[in-house]
Amino acid sequence: MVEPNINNYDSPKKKSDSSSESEQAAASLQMVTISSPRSQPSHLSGNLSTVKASPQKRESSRLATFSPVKGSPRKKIANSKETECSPRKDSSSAVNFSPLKNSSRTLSPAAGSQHKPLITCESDQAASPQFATISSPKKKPAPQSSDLLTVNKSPQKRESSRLAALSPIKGSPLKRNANLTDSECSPRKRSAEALDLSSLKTSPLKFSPVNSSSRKSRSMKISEDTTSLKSPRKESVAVANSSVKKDDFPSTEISAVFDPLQEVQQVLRKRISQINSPPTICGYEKERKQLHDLIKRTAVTGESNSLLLIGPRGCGKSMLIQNVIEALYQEKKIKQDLLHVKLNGLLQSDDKIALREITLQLQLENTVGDKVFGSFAETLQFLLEALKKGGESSKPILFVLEEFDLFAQHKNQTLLYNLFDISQSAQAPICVIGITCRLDVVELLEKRVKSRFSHRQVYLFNKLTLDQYRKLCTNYLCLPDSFRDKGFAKKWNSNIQDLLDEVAVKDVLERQFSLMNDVRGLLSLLTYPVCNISAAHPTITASDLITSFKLISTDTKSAMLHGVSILELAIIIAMKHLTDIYEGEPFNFEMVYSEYLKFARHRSGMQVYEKAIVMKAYEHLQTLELIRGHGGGTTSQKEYKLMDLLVHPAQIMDALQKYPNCPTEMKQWATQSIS
Amino acid sequence: MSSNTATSVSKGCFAFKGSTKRVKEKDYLPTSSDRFVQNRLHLYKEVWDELHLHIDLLRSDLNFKIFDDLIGFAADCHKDRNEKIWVSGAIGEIPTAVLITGVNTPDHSVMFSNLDSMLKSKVTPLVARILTKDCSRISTLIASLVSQLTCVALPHEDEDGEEVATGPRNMVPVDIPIQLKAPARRKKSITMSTLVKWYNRKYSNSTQNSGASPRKKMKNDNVLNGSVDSESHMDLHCDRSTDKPLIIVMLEDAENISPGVLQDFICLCSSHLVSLPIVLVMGIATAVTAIHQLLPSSVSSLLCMQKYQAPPASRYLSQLLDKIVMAPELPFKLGPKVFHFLLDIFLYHDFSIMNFIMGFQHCMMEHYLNNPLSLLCCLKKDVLKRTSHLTHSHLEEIRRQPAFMRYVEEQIVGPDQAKLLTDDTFTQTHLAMTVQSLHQYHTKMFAGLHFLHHLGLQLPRFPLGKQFRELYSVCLTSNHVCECDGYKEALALLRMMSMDDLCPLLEGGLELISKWKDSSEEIEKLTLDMKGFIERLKNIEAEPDELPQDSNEDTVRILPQRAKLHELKARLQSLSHRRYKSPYERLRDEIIDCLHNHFQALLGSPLLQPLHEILYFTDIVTVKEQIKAAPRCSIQRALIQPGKYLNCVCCQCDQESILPTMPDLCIVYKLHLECGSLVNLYDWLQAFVTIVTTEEPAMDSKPKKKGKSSQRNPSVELRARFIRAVSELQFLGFIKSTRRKTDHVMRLTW
Amino acid sequence: MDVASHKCLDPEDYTLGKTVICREIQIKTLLALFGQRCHLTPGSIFVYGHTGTGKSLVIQSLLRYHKLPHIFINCVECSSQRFLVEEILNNLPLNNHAGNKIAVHADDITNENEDFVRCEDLTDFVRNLKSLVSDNELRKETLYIVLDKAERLRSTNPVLLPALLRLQELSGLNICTILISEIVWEKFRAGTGFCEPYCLNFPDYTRNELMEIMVLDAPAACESELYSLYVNMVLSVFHMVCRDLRELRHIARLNFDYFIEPVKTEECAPSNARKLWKNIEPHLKKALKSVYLREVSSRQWELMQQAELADDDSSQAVAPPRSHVELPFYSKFLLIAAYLASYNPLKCDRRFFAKYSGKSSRRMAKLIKKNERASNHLLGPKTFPIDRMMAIFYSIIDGKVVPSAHIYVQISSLVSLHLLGQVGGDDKISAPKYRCLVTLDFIRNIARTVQFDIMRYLYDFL
Repeated sequence: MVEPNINNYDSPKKKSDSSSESEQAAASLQMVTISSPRSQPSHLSGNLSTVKASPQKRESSRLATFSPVKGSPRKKIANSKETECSPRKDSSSAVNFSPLKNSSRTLSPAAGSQHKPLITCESDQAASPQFATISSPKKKPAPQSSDLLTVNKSPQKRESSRLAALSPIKGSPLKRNANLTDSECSPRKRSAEALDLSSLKTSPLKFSPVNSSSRKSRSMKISEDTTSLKSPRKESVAVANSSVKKDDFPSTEISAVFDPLQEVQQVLRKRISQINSPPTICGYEKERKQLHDLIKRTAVTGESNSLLLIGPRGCGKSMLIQNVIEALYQEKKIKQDLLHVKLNGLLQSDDKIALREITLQLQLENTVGDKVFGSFAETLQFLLEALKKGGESSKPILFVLEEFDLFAQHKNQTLLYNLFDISQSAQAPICVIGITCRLDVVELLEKRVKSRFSHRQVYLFNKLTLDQYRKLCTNYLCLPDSFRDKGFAKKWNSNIQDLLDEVAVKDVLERQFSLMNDVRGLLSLLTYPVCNISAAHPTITASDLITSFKLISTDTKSAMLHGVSILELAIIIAMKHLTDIYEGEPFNFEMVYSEYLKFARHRSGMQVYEKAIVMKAYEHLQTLELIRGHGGGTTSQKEYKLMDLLVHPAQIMDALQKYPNCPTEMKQWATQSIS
Repeated sequence: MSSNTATSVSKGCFAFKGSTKRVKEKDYLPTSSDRFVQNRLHLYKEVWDELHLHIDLLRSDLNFKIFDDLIGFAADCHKDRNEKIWVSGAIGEIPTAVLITGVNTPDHSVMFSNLDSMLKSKVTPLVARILTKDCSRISTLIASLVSQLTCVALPHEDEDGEEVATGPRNMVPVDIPIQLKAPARRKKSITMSTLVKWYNRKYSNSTQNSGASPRKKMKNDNVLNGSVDSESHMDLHCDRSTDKPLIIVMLEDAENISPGVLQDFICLCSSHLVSLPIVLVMGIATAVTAIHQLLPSSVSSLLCMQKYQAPPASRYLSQLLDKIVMAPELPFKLGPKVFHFLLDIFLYHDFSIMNFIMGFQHCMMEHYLNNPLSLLCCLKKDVLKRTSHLTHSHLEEIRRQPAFMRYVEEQIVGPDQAKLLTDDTFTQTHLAMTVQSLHQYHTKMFAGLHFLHHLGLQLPRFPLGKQFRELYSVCLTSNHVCECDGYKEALALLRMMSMDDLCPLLEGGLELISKWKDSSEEIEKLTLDMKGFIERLKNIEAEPDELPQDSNEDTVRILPQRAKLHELKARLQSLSHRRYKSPYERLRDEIIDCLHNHFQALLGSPLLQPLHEILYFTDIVTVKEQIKAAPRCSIQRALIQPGKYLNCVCCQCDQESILPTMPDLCIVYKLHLECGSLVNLYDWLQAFVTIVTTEEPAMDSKPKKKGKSSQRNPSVELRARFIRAVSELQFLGFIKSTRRKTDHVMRLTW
Repeated sequence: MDVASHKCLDPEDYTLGKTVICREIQIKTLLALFGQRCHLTPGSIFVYGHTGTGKSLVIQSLLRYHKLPHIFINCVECSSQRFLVEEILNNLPLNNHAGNKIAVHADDITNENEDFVRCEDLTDFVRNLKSLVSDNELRKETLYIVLDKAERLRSTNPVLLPALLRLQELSGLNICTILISEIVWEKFRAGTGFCEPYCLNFPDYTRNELMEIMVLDAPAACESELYSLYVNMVLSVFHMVCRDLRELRHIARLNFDYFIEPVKTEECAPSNARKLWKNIEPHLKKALKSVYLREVSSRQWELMQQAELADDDSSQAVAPPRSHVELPFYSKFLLIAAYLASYNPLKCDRRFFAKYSGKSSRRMAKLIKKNERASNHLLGPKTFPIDRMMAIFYSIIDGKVVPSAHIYVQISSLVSLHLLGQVGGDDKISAPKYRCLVTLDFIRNIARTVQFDIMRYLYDFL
């Protein structure tokens, strides 16, 4: 608790000059900000540290920024602020913003109405420091502490002043919330494009404020997303929502200040994370088209289809589907009526659960209520009927079953049977797409199921060449054009380019490619370098890639062997000899011990340990699963339980080489063959 | 059981609940033979209650000592919890009391329930007993633990073992009603952290409900805020408040808990040790090494074991014998054979006290059931009452007993003989006197035996045996103790005992038998004599010294004159015989002789006492075949003489003859006795058929032609019967199928 | 605090406020992977390394120190899928009122309160997780689900582990699953649906690191260089055998009094290393044989130590518990018979136990010697039918014993005592098979009590 306070105190200083600097940077040409990426982040970091802090701290910073507004000598700054604010207003009005709506939206709960503004203005403070402090760069801390007291005494004054200052900003986010609909599209991407809309509208001068507002809009949108994720029961509670909004402002304060590196990380991390949508798709054009047409036919002409998408792990099956669907959703009409149900064999571990999940995804749980159905088919029928009502023709549904093979393991494959049956006998326009990595998946289907399946199968194999692989890597590392800070992006991308042309990097990539030539391999390779980007280490270097390659390509077992004690190592060598002697027959502890004794007594000056101690070491190896019980024999003592050695001799040798100050006679013992 | 309820298309088997009839003890008592079983039954009950009192006392105070130690250990094993070791990430060892219970498994549950109640009263209210049946899975174990600690009955949920991919939910047939709304509700999952939360809540802020534990007073009150994840390495200082009650978990029979579960449990405990003061109590039958054998040392290194050895069963036994078998005050006594029999079962087969007591009880029942004389086998104090209540018929019954007749003929002379057979009142008084004298005799004998045993204990190589029971068995078997050579050897050894051994020995003996001192005058006399002797030993120098001059003069007579070597030797020998005796030696001889006389008087064999049959149970045969079952023999007997068991008249016969009326099994068995190691099934079948069908003509149904045909190819029914019999025989383990020759079976018994 | 609060990467934080040492590289890597609290984090991280290499400690203290939202779960405890997911759902670090929700429901265990989230299957789990996380401010930060002793997950529902590994993908939330295990990742891959986690190895401490750490818990009385000397001595005895930090610290703590005692009594200077070594070495050797194996429990060891230091007669020291078991007479012989039956080859039974052991025996001995290669005490006990055991029993016991039920009862009680083991034979009723589970010295003790010279009957010792 002590040392944080300390850098509370010095941080305002830092903040002040850093912010002023950034301001000048923003006020001058953008090139300045880009030209000094090295210096900037450090200050900003200090800046960030200050903003999100214990409340009274935030108060103070706010007051610091607010003193000009109230204090008469700073009048002109205040209206300079006004002037700055105005373009922002019209920018927001450019996105046709209507105050009525937002007021109705925000002030809807009577209770929330009076504290609401206070919150929003808080949020605004984060943005305001920069341009508030232009004129008063240095002597910030003094006034801050002083009128901390004064204002705490007079809250209502604060409010009034704020309401005045703030109304314009509030609009834009809410507008955005209105027109964003689909929940699954992730927040940041949207924000990115949202933000370049706005940045186009606004002149470079107002860079940071706009950025802040747009950022706020993003965070608002997150809340929207998540609420739309939630079940309607939650939806109804408006108060909860408002409270949620209250929570999420601090984070916007954090990212209020523009930090290209942060942006870079956000973008790249998103790519290597599991929620990934790759920058570009290479290959698979034919399959992509096929899928596209298939789904489109279902969506438009309402014909039923079923298809299996088969390919090894990490060859981009899901990615392909995802991509196709996104492409289809570009069309308004399809977006309206095509319903999308996603099932995953890992989650829906049996058909009843699957059915419940379908109901939820079709948002029919209310219509279903707690009816009790006779059979599975009946239930499914009911669901389709329920969809039908409303329009006379039922909407087309797209079923995507991931880990399709797991569904085939369910009790007499009811779900598959019914889905295929419906798609066969075109009762309702549905398109069933199964994604699996098992080539023999069709054999898993029962006869009746198989007969209903239109044997349309698409095989994906990643036939990545090394060049494609490199290209892919480049795509993953390069920043998109939508990146806010164009100049930075350009610089970054050029960096990446000549990074990838380095010999060492080429070599690393080649080796990784030879190990594992799919995308996931690449991602795991890129994970470390991307995560390693920081203020102190702003670019990716070849050494990053090399270390990362070392990290992921370490042989885990010999790494573990490196950690065992010398005694345990000796036992392992004894086991190795035993397995050599008896041609892989299992051994028991007594044999190992006698083997060990033979060595320890005669061929080494090492201390000879007694049985119990060796036993303990033996058991340790067992818990490490370097040796495993040879099945059965439960009723015998541990000394006589038959065991198998699970370490390959090569690994042992490897470990022996690496082992710190390993006694030489053990090395000899290990290397010498059976006599 | 009406058959119309049982008609079914499918071949099912139907269970009919028969009418349960309440069994009363009179159904078991033989009503015909004698009429006084009832009174004897009451008598038996009195005596048994008396006995049972003693047994319970014994049981309660036997384990008292180790329990005290154990409780002390449990109480202060968590004293040092505030030290640095608990804070640093060093090994959290669970204090564990290993209670070595010994191999007599039947007796354990009593022991543990005692321990449980003591712990609950003395140390902490939170005690849980984990039985082996709870330990099928770690979840069930924890569930039962938590439910016992929180005193909340949890319904035992079995369905959470279904985490394998093919769980019950997958088994659900699809055409059962599907409901899409609420999924099936289940009980909450109970984990260790549930317990932690509960414990912290209960004992952190409100210490008054931990008042049950006596350890509360010596504590500092640092109250902790019940942080849910207090099992971290960081916030421990605030977290230990020692005034919280311990949690004691008793694992009875830890060896038979499946090792995996035990392992997990121990790991969990040690990981939560920081937030829960857990103490384990493990019951181990064999030895501590069993734990090391059971658990991998990585786990056993989490236990800080303290070993508590329960007293060995043999000691338990000897105390028991002192209390109930060799106690003079109890009327019922075992005859030599029965005594040895019960003892052997204990020592040779199972160290189980329970079984011994039950055997003893069984003997008692037998005694009171079958021996009419046992009407008089009662406590000494109400001998008079009983005898006075004897009616004429009772006395007649008694007179009819062979034992009584023998007694009258052999030991009574003169008019009393006649009077005993005719005069009731005289017989009553006489009987009363005899029984009382028997009791009297017992007190004397046991006092004497104890004295003798005490003397014997000090002698080298224990001529009279270490245990008192050995001496007692000697006394039972031999017709007088003083005639057995162990006794003679003992006296010989006593005669060369040094004074400073002898004196305390006698004193010890005296105060050993002091409690019987005033019971009979013989003992009184013995004590008096001994006291006198001890006095004289105390001031031995006051003893009149033997005049030494004769020895002097014959020494001077030898030495001067020269003689031949052998003469000299002979003379020396003769000298050495009547050599000089110190006063102590003379006194010692005196003492020993006196003792011998006393023992002569005291230690007569009980079986020579008049009418000892009243108190002594000697019927070894019945008891043996009831208690010590020999299944194989009885099976064989049943097969050879089915008549005995089925008691039907038709199959009453001697050993080897085979009757067609016998059960098929018996016939087949007897037939196969005649064959060699390999039995040909076909011949066997033929023989069987011939025997069964011999008396076919006797039956009316289808006369001779069946006899003919059945010889060649027997009817399906016969074959079926034969096969069934053979398979039964195989199940009983007399034959087994072999591959050596086709259609042969191998004999397993000879 | 607010350095921690939103700035993860800080050069001076590698020691997490001096709570963890010697793990800088790992912490650095982890911090890099975590990134800022609003950043996406690699979906699943697999941390492996030996016990006592500070895996759990590092991760736990990292998360706590930086106040990152996380759940720490021990998979031994959450033995089944349902337990696990309900544990996760109910202990989410929600900083709104959910905290005291949990508190409320904890006090009485059985009642059906609404706050407790029940969860039957993974679908429910993911749905609940989404709704719970997304209506409080957790959604802006990475949520870390740490699963300790992750190897246990393999024994539960086979799709559980893959589902947890791709939880981020399945839930679309910013979640990072961290598996901690001391088993290498290869052994986890079974079944389908795996996506590889990011494997991170915690290497064992080097000897110097060990010393550096162990010196930390030097008692206040003893100055650190003396203690480091002591630690060095301890390591020189134990380092060959055991690398487990916990064990080593334990041992060091237990034996310190022995070490410091001559210094206390000024009979040797703290500088005199040789003398100190002379003094401490025998004790350490003894500790290696006893305490290290827990044949003497730590408590007993401390008692012994105090006793010895008080007055130097180690006579009344606690002897390591030898396996002395008292058995009924016939049980002893049954056990001996079982031992003979399971350690002697079947062929030589006639030679040992037949009454007429004539001249044929030597020839047979030779022929047995020829085809018996490995010693039976190396291969372990063989199973034998009950008949063989009874035959040997009757031949070695003197005096006739009626085959009463008591004998057979004893066999089963021996099984329940784990002295015999019943082997799953084809028919347990008529011909059960057994195996003797006692060691040689145990059986020799038993045989000694009944004056039976077992070595004469053991084939391996002829």
